[in-house]
Amino acid sequence: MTLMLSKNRRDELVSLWYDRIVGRYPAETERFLREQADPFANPVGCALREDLAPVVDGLLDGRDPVDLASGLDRVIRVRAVQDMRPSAAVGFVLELKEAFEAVAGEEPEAVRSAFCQRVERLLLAAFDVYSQCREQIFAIRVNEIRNRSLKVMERLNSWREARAGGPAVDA
Amino acid sequence: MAEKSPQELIQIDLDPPRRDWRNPSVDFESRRGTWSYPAAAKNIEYMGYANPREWSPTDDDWQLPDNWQQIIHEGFKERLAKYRSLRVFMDTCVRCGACADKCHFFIGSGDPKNMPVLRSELLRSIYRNDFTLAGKLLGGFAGGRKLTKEVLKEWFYYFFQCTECRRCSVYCPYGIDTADVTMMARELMMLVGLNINWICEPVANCQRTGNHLGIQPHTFKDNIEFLCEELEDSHGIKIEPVINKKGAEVLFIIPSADYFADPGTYTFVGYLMLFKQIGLDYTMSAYASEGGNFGLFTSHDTIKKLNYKIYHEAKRLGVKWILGGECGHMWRVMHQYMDTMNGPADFLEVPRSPLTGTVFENARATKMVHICEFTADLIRNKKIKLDKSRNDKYRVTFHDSCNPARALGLFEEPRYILKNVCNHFYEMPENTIREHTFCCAGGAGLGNDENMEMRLRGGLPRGNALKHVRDAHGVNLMSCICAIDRATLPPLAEYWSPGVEISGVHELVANALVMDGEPERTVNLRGEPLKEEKEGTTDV
Repeated sequence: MTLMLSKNRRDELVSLWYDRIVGRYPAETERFLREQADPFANPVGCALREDLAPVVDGLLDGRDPVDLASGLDRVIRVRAVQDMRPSAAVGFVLELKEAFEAVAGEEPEAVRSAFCQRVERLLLAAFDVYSQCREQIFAIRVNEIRNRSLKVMERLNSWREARAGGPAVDA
Repeated sequence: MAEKSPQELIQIDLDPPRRDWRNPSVDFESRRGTWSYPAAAKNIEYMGYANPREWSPTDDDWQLPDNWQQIIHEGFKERLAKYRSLRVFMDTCVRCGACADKCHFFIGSGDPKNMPVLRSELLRSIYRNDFTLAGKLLGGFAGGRKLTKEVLKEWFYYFFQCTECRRCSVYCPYGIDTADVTMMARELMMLVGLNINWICEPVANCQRTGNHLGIQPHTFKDNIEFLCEELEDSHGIKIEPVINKKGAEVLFIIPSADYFADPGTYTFVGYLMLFKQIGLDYTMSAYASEGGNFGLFTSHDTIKKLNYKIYHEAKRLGVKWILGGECGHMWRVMHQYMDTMNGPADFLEVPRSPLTGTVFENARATKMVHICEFTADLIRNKKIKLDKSRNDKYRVTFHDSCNPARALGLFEEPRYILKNVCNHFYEMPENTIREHTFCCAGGAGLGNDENMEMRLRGGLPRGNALKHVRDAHGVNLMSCICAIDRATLPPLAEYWSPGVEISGVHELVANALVMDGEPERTVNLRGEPLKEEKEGTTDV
């Protein structure tokens, strides 16, 4: 079911959600995230500016929250390595609920509750993305050592064994 | 315990701590993944540095000497007198903010103390308090802070979150070199026994065996022979590497990761293939078996000591000049410190390419030429034959490694080479390359695995630009000329821009290099088919 919001309200919702997310950073960082427009100088601010609106539209349209959460990958991927507890790293999704209440408080109860449910499902899907990022970080850490040196060591050791007449053969 | 209601349960504190920057407290326990393990006592002891002991940043007691404040104060005073640059950097900053948003760690972390101006302020506030009249009289009102244990712990946290990449310095209207500020802060910490193992172990190894990995001469020879035999098996190209040859024309210096860790090994083999083809009279040294100089992250005395071995070997072997491989900070040491510390290298000749006759006037002081300058000159003078199509499976971009870019100004040569050995080359956005290049976030000793989260934070700007060219042009290989980059960029790419591999420039040179009498090439140096195999076609 598509939830109808006027264009103004939809824009206001996106903007309020964005404000609430960047407003959680320290003041100096918030200023930078808002003011630096270049996407390569400010990738975090840029991801927030670009990726929130499609998610809001998707939620209003009733699209699959798993698809929508993958649209938040850039945002979550950053938050997975920033200095935040897991609850805060994905908790930004809940901000959307509060932003919706502030913007669409006069909408019928059915619309408000449907939107809130969708946000909650999005939150769970966002947690999946966050967990994947964290698991990837740990895997990268382990594999780095293996890829960097152990592979060469293994090849080198086999070569040395072959040069010395081959390894002891198992019976 | 009383059960919480759903409303209470969702009361999550989303705010990062908002606090005055002068508050120095750092909770190391909750920030694992963002700091490096401290130097092991055996390495501190071996180098004769201060206060060897086993400790952890998570300990309450860091086992500092009783008079640690006095030691740092005296050390600071001595350095202010010795290095005029330090006093200028301490006095000059007007907090204009030009550097504030240029640090990759700030961009990725959002932590204001990663702003170069604020990171420097951690040291500058102590300078103000201890060494300026205003600070002595007015203390905090003049921006001064007392040096407490908390401040020292904060130094340890944040000054090991600077890769000394010097991007911020490019934007400073006063030319303040923030990397120098970090170097001084690290030197001061060393006086009371604070350093990290990823720096001190390579330093100790380098002093003992001549390279970061502690590889002894016989193993050095063994490793290199192994890589050459691998090449012979895969490509039928036989190379007899030259080590410790007295009277060779050129001493070739490489970072140890090139002969010990993938993907640097491909670049290493690439160098030797080139030398074979052009018949260069070179030698490597099993004693100066390291280009890198982690003294740069330790102390000026250590830089000098570790750099000297290269010139000592050049003298012992009686070479005419020195050729340097694809190493990063080796070139900062060479370009900005060598001549002052260990020069003049007047027992060597001004480098002259034996193939083209080109005299490398730019290396008149150090007598050391970058291999990209050397190879670019070969290509320009048509001394080597190249088949670009052998790199056709790669769509290549170039990462300017911080030190060759900002300390050496080496922008064009690697690009010139790449455009001559590859058909598909694409630049990343202008404000992320050349002197504006973003760091790999693993330099200056921070490329260890326990620091992975911090590295990934700092790697975001480079990863973001890389992702852009991956998506826009299908880039699948990022080439670079730094061994630390070749080690630290693969994880960065895997997290921020999956599907992009990392290589050295001379790996691609060797792929394209047409060698006399070589068997037909079917695979590249990684053993991968030269062309993408098309589905549905089979050889009959």
